[in-house]
Amino acid sequence: MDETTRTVLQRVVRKVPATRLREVLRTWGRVPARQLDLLDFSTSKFVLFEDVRSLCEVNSNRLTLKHVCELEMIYFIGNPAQGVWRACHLTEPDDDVMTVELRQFKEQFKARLTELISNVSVKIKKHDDEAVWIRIAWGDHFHRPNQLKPTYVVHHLQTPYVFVYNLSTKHKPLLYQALVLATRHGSMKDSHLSGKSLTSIRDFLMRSYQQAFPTKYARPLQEKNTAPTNPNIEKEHAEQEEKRLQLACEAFGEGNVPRLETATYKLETRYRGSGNETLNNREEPFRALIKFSSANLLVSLNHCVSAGMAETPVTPLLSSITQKGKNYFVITDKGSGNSSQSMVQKK
Amino acid sequence: MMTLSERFPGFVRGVSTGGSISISRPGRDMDAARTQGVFSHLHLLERGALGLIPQEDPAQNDRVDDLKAVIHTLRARRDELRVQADRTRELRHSIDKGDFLDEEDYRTGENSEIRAALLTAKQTELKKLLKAHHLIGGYDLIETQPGKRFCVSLHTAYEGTYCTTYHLELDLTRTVQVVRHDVPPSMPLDTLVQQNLQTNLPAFLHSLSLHLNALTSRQQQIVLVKDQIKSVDVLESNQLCSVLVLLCRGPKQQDPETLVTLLYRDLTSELPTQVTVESEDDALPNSPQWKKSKTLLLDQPVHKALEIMNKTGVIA
Amino acid sequence: MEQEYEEEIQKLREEIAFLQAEKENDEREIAKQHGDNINHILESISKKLEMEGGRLRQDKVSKLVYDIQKLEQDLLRQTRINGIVLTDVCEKTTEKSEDKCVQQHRITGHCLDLTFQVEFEVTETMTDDTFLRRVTDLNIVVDGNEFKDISSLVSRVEESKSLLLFFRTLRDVSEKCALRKKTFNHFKERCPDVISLPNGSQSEVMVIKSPKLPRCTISILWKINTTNGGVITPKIELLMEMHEKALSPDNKKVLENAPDAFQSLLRVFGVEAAIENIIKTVGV
Repeated sequence: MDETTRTVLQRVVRKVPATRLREVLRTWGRVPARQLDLLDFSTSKFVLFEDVRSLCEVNSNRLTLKHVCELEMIYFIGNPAQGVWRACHLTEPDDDVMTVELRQFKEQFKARLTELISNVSVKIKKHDDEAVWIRIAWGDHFHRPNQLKPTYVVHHLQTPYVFVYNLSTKHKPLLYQALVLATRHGSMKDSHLSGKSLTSIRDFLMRSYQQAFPTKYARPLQEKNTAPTNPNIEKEHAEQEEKRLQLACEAFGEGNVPRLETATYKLETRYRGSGNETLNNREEPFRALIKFSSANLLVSLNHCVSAGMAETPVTPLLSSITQKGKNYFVITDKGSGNSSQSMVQKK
Repeated sequence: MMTLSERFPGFVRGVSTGGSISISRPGRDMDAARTQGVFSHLHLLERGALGLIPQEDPAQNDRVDDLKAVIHTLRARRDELRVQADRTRELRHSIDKGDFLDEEDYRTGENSEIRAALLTAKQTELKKLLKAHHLIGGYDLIETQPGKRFCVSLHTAYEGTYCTTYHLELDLTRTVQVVRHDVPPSMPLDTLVQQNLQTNLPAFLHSLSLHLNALTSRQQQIVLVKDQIKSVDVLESNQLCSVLVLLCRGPKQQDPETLVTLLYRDLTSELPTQVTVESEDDALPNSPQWKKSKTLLLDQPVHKALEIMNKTGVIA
Repeated sequence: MEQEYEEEIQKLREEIAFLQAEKENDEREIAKQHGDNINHILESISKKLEMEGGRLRQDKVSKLVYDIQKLEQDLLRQTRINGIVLTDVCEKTTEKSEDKCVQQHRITGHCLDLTFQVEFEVTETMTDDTFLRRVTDLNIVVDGNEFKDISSLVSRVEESKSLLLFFRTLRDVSEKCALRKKTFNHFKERCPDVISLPNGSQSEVMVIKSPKLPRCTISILWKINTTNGGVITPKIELLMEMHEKALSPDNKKVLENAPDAFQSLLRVFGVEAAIENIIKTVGV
């Protein structure tokens, strides 16, 4: 086992919680299950690493970096909530975009990326849920790929969505170009959406959560689920309450909504109120950053509206989160002399 | 801070530059938000007074209480309905006998009941007609902002089973625009919008409905393949179900496995436009029975084609 | 104890469904029998309300009138966007419990020239919070023998109970039928001596008989086929019937090639111009 392989293996063993390690190693399949059962997963990570390493060396005499990277991917695919994921959008699809299939994509992507940068190691794995996972370790002319800080990319074939984890600005254009070519698109841009949970931002962007729309026809059997109420009690404000709840659900979804943690608004606007001379007539735009944060932002916003804490109808600034599928906005004045302000996407 | 309070009504009060506002996650779910307040409290008190508050086995008592409450509500509803139904029948007879209605009668108190009955009849008829439109898959147009915005529903079904309903909210203020929707994002909605949303709304809805129903159909077919054809594995598919890769096994143990790829380029169709067959045994895809199977796969929904292939011994 | 309560609930639900149906049935009969009277009443009341400045009065009748006006507006809107006019509906609940509901419906209406009566049964079930609505029986009658185009569709959707598919396709088929009728009638009016429509203007055949070619009959066969998924594919063909002796070898060749030539014309000029061209060629 060479030095890099050893270091990566050590990192994985350290990173994976002891309770999960057995399962991850089993899925990996490089060590027989029988021997795994004999390991003591309650000892220190240092001892555990030495045990795992020796088991690996005994069982496969040529354990390479490739195998260890696979182990890391297995853990990462199962536990993707370890940092910030950013969503990107492929645009200008070619006519044959629908025919891109896995084998072709793998070949194309690897070929394109290695054309662009010489020292890079790429590993691609298809997950059960139709997502393609890519692990990239970057190097340059003078350095071998850094296996300890890989970039992860998740893409669903035949969709325009890409989710990226741990990508530096230096490597961004390279990755974008390789992806654009391999998926047969014209270009790729940032979606201004990020979050800790990959599944959440994916569901959010691909709209696979329940959105509320007005309807006239309640399902006849739905009465089953509503709590029985006393027929003698009539709610005075039931109608308004119902309306607020409906508007809140229309703006922020209902039921199990994807978990977003933040919404950020960067303001670059001018002050147009009266009576404050220091703020009026300033040359420079007024800059401010407003950040909403919550364990589950959409539920919080929904609650604020349905409980009457925030006004209805919901301001477009907030409903834009779901409508545009973004949680980062830059707001600027549309033009001088124009009193209506609009939201302009950051270029 | 300038127009901020307009932008974030209810949120931004006295926030300084760069400030951060945290909203804690509410502890209750949305249903609780609906029922909380004075009335639920009153309800609780009432139950307490009636001795309905659980004492020993809370789960058991809760269930019985709920049932009692349901019975109470249903009885009241039935009694009310019975009175109404009887009255309607009486009115129908008296109307049929013709003891009513000349212009003068409208103003007298006596016939206002008959007048109301006639109008209620009309109201019921209209409601039934509207519900029928809904049942046969109408677009269920709802105005969300008078004259400006409306919402349409696109119902899908696979054979007799009603499946997902998709929605679009449209804005008519200047040009017709899609405000929001829950159509799957891989659907070529933008193309359809460009084709005829401005010029011909029914045509636009019709073609979108064709797309969505074909999608439902392809989705259901995959479910049926997984359910009914145990020897076949679905290796690959996507959100639009425009690609389907199947691993088929021959009826005998030693038969080579076959990879069948179906491409659905026509998104308004439930049938594939291209079928390719690959196998370790190069001769197999060109064998007469596989050639026949290819035609079958192009002509029939995939689960039906596979079923026939299974019966004729092409696959296990 | 629980068992008894549940049974009572079930009984109550059925009773309610029955009473509801009874009441609605009486109401429907009233509405049917006295439609004119109702419209008369509606008119006079809304006039009165208007005179009072359109202010909504709080009494029961004014509320009803207001509600009816809204419903009528809504119905008009749905009819327009759905392209289907419903004239009569009848609904009957045959089973009703907490997690199952079976209803039979009979719907009469028309879509452009096509009139239909559709009977269907809808079964709604609730299992583990999953709501399922299915058409469990479907019976369709479409009026007019000349509509050959729709009959294959009808038998197919009846078999698979595809109620929604039927109505989605019906709209499209009737539009295509209307276009065909319009086109056929147009030519019939322009050249009544040459053109005949042997099965009526709603059928798929138009016959051209030229006085210059007395032994030769040209038929335009315009079929409107539907695929299983409800996509309409109109197919227009030109058929020739002729007596050998009637033609010189040159003319014969021209006419033999006519069906193919017609297809090219269709592709280039569209239906109307292509037929126009054929009529001209036979010398009218």
